[in-house]
Amino acid sequence: MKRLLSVILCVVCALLAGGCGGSETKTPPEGGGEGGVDVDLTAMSKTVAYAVINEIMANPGDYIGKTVKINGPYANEYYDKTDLYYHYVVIEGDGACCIQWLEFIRNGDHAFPEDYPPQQEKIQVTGVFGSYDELGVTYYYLAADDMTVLA
Amino acid sequence: MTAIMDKLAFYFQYPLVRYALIVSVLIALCSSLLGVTLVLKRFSLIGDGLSRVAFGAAAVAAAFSLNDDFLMVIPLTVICAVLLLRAGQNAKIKGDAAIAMISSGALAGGYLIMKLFPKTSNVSRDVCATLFGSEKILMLTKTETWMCAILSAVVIAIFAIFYHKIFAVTFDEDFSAATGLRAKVYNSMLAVVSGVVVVLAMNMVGALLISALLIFPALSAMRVFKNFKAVTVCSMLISVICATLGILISIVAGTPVGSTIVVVYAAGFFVFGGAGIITRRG
Repeated sequence: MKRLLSVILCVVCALLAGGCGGSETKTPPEGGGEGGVDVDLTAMSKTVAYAVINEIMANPGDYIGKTVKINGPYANEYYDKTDLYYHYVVIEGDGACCIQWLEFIRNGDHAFPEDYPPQQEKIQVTGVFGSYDELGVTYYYLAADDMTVLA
Repeated sequence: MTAIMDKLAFYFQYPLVRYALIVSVLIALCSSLLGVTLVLKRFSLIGDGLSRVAFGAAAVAAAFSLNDDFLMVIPLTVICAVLLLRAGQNAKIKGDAAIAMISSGALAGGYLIMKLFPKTSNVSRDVCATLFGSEKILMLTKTETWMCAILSAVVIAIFAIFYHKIFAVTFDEDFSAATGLRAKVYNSMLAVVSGVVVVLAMNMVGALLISALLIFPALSAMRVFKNFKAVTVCSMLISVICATLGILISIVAGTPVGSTIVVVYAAGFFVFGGAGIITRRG
């Protein structure tokens, strides 16, 4: 039994060296996705999509400039200090309690509310992940080339 | 089948998925090793009690804005584990009553602290993630991944080095002490390991479901095998297979990670229960 556990320990150490070692970051593989999309959250299950979006928001620097494709319910919010409406895709986790919001800004001229769907309508957004500073805070968003309302 | 394999290959491009699987397998190994001893010592519910303590400690760590809550959660959980496992036999408040008291007290205290000193604006999310795991195993930071991996390796090393002593203390503590074995030292060591394993397992299935990780593999193996070594080896195999299957199913199907893993463990128990009946009749 001791020998077996020792063998398991060696395998564990090898796993650690192989799986967690090196200088590998937790970022996804470089841009090989379909249609130039680096991170396609629409192709992922709810569980992984939520984990990936959480990873993006936790380490935004690793994802700046990457193209992200995402779908989920649409939401907007008015902020009186800037007198602007902000637009989001909502990503729900597997439990009803876990929700992430990812802001998107559509490229080109789009009027609100005419060019936006009602809240909770399911949309798909593809855009480049970036950041902007406002009122001394850095915010992360998708510069969206494409926003489609899903049936 | 090919579609599922393609899907898995796609997911495994993401390091967070690979890390989650490695950490799950390691935690499954540790919990199964410990589970056999805890079941035989009739401390099956200690996982529940300690996980509530860990929940309370995580709430305190959040209130103090500690970035790495392991630093507070592990010591507090280990202290409670030592108190429960070492003093359990001789204390005025014995075994199950002490566990029930600590369990409910820590859970209530933890929730109260989380409400009074919220770490984020979404308290229900924090509570839900801690109690049910949610996708926490897929969201481990690099430091947490390394901590889990190193602590798991230490737990396995302890079992490898002290296997015979743990065996003796598990079956008859008084007899072990009478033969000159420092039973109290090994009991304390088991308590420390229990605390560490419970904290690690919280990442995988959350505080409310930890007992399943400790108990199901041992009980499943005991349906078929009757000696300590066979039960331990079988328990490790069951645990690793069920944890791997559970996490892969939840990744592909998008089901909640913790509950999927526990349901697979429960299914494993019924399979081995059936196998045990067939073996006995044969």
